Order: sequence, then C-alpha cells, then structure tokens
Amino acid sequence: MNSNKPKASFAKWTVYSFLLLLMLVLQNTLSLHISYICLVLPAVVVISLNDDSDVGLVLGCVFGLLWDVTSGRLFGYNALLMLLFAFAAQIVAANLIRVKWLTNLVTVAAFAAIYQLITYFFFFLIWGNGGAWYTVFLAILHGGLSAAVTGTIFFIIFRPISRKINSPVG
Amino acid sequence: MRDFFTGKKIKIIAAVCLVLIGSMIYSLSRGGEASYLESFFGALTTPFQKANAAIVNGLSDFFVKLGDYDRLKEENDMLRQEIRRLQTLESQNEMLMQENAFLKDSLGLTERLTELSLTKAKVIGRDPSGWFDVISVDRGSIDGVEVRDPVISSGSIIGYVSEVYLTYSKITTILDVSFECGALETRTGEVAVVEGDAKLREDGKCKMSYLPRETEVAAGDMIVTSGLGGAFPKNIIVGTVEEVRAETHGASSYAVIVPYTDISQLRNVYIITDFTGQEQE
Repeated sequence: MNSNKPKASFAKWTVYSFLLLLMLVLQNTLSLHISYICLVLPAVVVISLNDDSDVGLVLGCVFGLLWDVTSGRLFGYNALLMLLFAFAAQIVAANLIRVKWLTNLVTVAAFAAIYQLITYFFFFLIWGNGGAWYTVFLAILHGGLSAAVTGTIFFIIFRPISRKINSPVG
Repeated sequence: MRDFFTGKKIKIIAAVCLVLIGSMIYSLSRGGEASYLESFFGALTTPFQKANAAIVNGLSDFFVKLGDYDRLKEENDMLRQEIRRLQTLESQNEMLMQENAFLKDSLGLTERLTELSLTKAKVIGRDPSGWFDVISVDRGSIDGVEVRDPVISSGSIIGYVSEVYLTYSKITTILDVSFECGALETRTGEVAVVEGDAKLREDGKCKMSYLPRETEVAAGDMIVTSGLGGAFPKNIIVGTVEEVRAETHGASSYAVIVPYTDISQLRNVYIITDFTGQEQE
C-alpha cells in the first residue's frame, strides 16, 4: 500500500481548491472593470476532463454555490449546473474524446455556450423577455470564445498539475 | 458508459441535484431575504472579494492616472472654472432662498423636504454571466440594509437592493431587465416607467416605457424619479434622453435613457436606508 497516496490526494484537493477560489474571486472583480468574464465554469470543466477522480464534481458543486453568492439569480443554480457539467465532462472524457488541447478547447467552449443558452431559456425566454436574438447570439459567442481561451490556459496549468499529482509515487 | 449511470455515484449526484433544486425554490420563495446557507457561503467569500476589489481598484486607478495625465489636467482646469461659476451661483441661490423663505413665511406655507438616510457601500463584485446587471456591495443586514432599499451614486439612481445577507447585499441595477421605477420627465412633466432592456443594456442604457405615441419628450431631456409608489424617493436623477422611438406595436413610444452615472464603472454607492415617503410593508 502506498503511504503517499493520501498525501497526494490532499495536495490535489488543496491545489484545485486554491486555484478555483482564485478564479472565483477574479471573475467577480474583473467583471467590474474589464468585461463579463467567466472563469469558474472553464476551470471546473477542465479539471473534470483531465482528472478522472471526483474532484471536479465536488469542487464544481462547492464553487458553484460560492459563485451563486454573487450571481444575479437563484441560489443553487450555478452549483447545479457546475455539478452536471462536471459529470458530463467526465463522461465525455471517458467515452467520447481523447483529451488534448483542441478537444479540451472545443468541449469547454461547448459547455460555456450551453450554459448561456440554459440561462437565457430559464431566466429570460420563459418569463416573456425573449427576443433580442442578436444579443443572445452575442452572449453565446462571447461566453463560448472567452471559455475557449481561458479553458486552454487552464489546460496548460491543470494538466501538468493533474499528471504530477496523479502519477504513481514512491 | 453504463458505469456512470449505475451505482452509488449517480444516486449521490441525483440527491445533491434535488437539494440544489430545493434551494432554488426556497430562495425564490423568500423574495430576496437570505437563507442561512446563502449567508454562510457569502461570509466565506466576502473577505476575499473585498481584498481583491481593493487590489484591482488600486491597479486600475494607477494605470488610468498614468495614461490620462493630460486629459486629467485639462479636466482639472475646466473643473476649477466650473467651481468659480458655481460659487457665483451659490451666492445668488442663497439670496433667492432667503427671499423664498421670507415669502413662504409671509404666506404661512410649510415645506416638507425629502430626507434621506444614507449608508456608504463599496462595490466588491459583479455577476460574471453577462446576463444580469447585479452588483455586490460590502454592506448587509447588520448595517441596517433591507430588501428594496434604493441605491444612488453621484446623486443619481443606480438600482435597488434585491437581496440582503448578513455582511453583503446584491443590487439590481437600472440596466437589469427586472428593474422598474416610476419616472418623470422634468420639462414636460410626463410620467412613465424606467426599466431595463436586454438589448440597450449592452450599451449601458435603459428605457423609459409607456410614453404616449405623440409624446413631447425629446433628446436631451432630463429624467428623474417620480416617487410614485414609494419605492424610490422623488426627484433623484435617472439620466438624459438620447432619443425617442416608437414601440414595435405602434401604440406607444419609449425613450432611450443614458444613465447619469456609468454603471460599469461603479466603485462606491450609497444605500438609502430610509427616506420621507418610503413605502411601509
């Protein structure tokens, strides 16, 4: 039995938690000055794509709740979506794709676009605030493209961390 | 793939999803008041956001000052001239006030001024989804903030407190599609409703709806709060009219409003915790 495994596991959870906390705080404050920027979603999806343990699921849910604290609508909405996206990303990584930078980029962009579509549907369309299709298109494009860029950066950061921590030790 | 949908894991995920859906329904039913869970998570993140907002604001100010030296110098000269002009106006105003008070006293009139109780708050976050214009500030229920309290900055309306937690609050701004406020055009006296619009929001603008089709409101007119309904104090500046357009159904018109304060650049706001004529629940 490898005695370093619990230590590696603890290190992984700590590193991911710290990075996600940083992303959460950055996304809320950078949105004040630069532009609306979503960092937690790409980070959760990239972690789930590149790490086969349940760290993405649990941290996705927890940081989704923390995101809900500053988000504009119902408490639990982002946590629910982050949990489902992390689960879906695990399935995609295990069965449908081989995770490389390009597949990572496309998957993250697709999840970000789905997030925008779901948000539009639940908070605008069904409440009678539909229309403005150009705006919707721009929001999806903005969400998808920014997630593709940040997702690729996270891929470069998280992939080595995941490999380093998950590699057999001792 | 079948492994993912059988066994303990999927049951746990389903259970967590149900709890989260329950949380959303509970949150909806409370209409802006914080649950214990929300307050707990809010208390965890607020200190980090305060610190980060301070760092980002500091850096932003530094680079703005560095890049805008000439413009700021020119603006400074203009403001000095403006101060001199306002000082002259103030002295004239003082004389008029004395004259006004004397005349009112002679006629036996009493005036009830609108009094505002203000709480200063720092902006510490903004919804990053791009769909909602909701900002977070570092004042909560322990500072006396309540749901529906109006929020102002630079003397103009910013929005209202939509959710209150122990140490922080969320403010729905005038650009958000859920925002509505009774408003008055100062030149013609036309009363209508200022509300957020999904398309105009992108350009930092909102609209004044339900104007008559043959409205006299025109570009450049000033819009203030009407105070009707008691949700907002009256005569707080909203913004200026950019243009008047006909609604697609043709029965009425709406005015595109440029808010007096740039909502995207907010740093500090004032929450009106009490004012004369506030609606009582």
